[in-house]
Amino acid sequence: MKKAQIQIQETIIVIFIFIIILGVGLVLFYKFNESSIRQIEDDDRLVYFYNMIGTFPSMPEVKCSSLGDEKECIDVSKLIAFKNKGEFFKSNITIYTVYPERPNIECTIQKLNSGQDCGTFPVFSNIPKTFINKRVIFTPVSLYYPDRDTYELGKLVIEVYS
Amino acid sequence: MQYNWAFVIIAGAVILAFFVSFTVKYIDIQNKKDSAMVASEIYNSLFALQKSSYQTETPIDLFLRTDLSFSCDKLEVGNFFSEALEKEFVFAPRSLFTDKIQVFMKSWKYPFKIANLFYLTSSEKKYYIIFDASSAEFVNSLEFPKNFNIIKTTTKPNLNDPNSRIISFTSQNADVKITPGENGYATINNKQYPVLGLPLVYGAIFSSDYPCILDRLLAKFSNMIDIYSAKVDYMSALNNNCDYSQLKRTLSLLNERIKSKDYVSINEYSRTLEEQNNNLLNSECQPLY
Repeated sequence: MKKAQIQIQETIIVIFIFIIILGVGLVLFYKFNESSIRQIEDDDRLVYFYNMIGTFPSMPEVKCSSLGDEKECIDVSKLIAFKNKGEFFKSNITIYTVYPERPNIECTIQKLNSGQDCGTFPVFSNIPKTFINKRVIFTPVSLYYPDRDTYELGKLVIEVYS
Repeated sequence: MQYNWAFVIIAGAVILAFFVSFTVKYIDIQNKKDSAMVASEIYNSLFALQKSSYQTETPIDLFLRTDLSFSCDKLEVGNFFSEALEKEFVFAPRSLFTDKIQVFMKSWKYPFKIANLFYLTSSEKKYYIIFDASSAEFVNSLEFPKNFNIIKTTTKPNLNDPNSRIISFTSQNADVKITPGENGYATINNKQYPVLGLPLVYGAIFSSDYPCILDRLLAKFSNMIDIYSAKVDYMSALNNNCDYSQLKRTLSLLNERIKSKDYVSINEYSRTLEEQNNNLLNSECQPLY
């Protein structure tokens, strides 16, 4: 084989390897950017839940009102009716009565009617079978019992899964 | 010598093609990324506003000037990224090209609160409101946000501008013709749609997709009635001194009328519900809402 032919073959191999390295770089770059877009979506979802800690008690589905005027509390009767009616992605939303202290038993109309003590209001549950992260966000809320016209202190707990 | 030239041309073309495809992909990804950030910015701003109980006017400043396409339950940013608006009720033009969105928010109560409604526009959009002597009082009672380009006129402008929308409160036809009143309706493309309360009058003015958003709102109205029906059950079970049976019946009839799209009856039952709710307080009972 002539020396010139060997040189050309060497050059072809060098260019071939160069292109492969560039190709791998391109794929990695593409994947990195795709994941950064997914990251924006994930962050977006997390911001949604951080905002939801403020917006959930303001939802007309659960918020107290009197003759159309909104009040800063959660109406327990509406809360019971709203159970699993909303759609909140992969999360678990529950309200616990904090004061006065009550047992961790789900409140239903039947239980309240029979005078049974209860203090838990499950709102929504969609816990994935597998998840990487679980974040818990909570805030105090005022719970209003319209039948007794009394207020209790509660804790809204949102568990976000990703 | 010829072989060398062929080699240089082929190798050069391959490397050039690589860089071209890299650039195209980079631009595509960057556009997608920017669009995702804009969509996220808009969505989170609207979602944060949901907690407001009051009528609100606020701008959303975007970090880039871009194309926004609004449909009934979706926002598309620059054809690269779309964000679902399934829980929000956004009345907006079909398309906006802007870096600053003007937002106006109002609660829809009929008679109880059903949802917060968002009205979106930009400074490029103009709304011509045509009125006559019979509708002047109603048009003057409408409260438009300061940053919305509203031009009230008695003569129909001769325009062919995609950034202008003509709303008629007279007998003249326009993009939307609104007949206000107790059983008011909006005429869009020769079809009539009800305007249940003032917030929906604004909805018909600012939205290019009013019929679809109206359907979604009625579905939400129906869901809210289910919640209030359950509250009636709760109150009836736990508070025996008060009679909630009339309210329960009205709620049930109202829900039936919503499902059958009997808009005149919806208005009537809504007023009956309000009356019955006020009567509860007169009988020293807890009102329903």
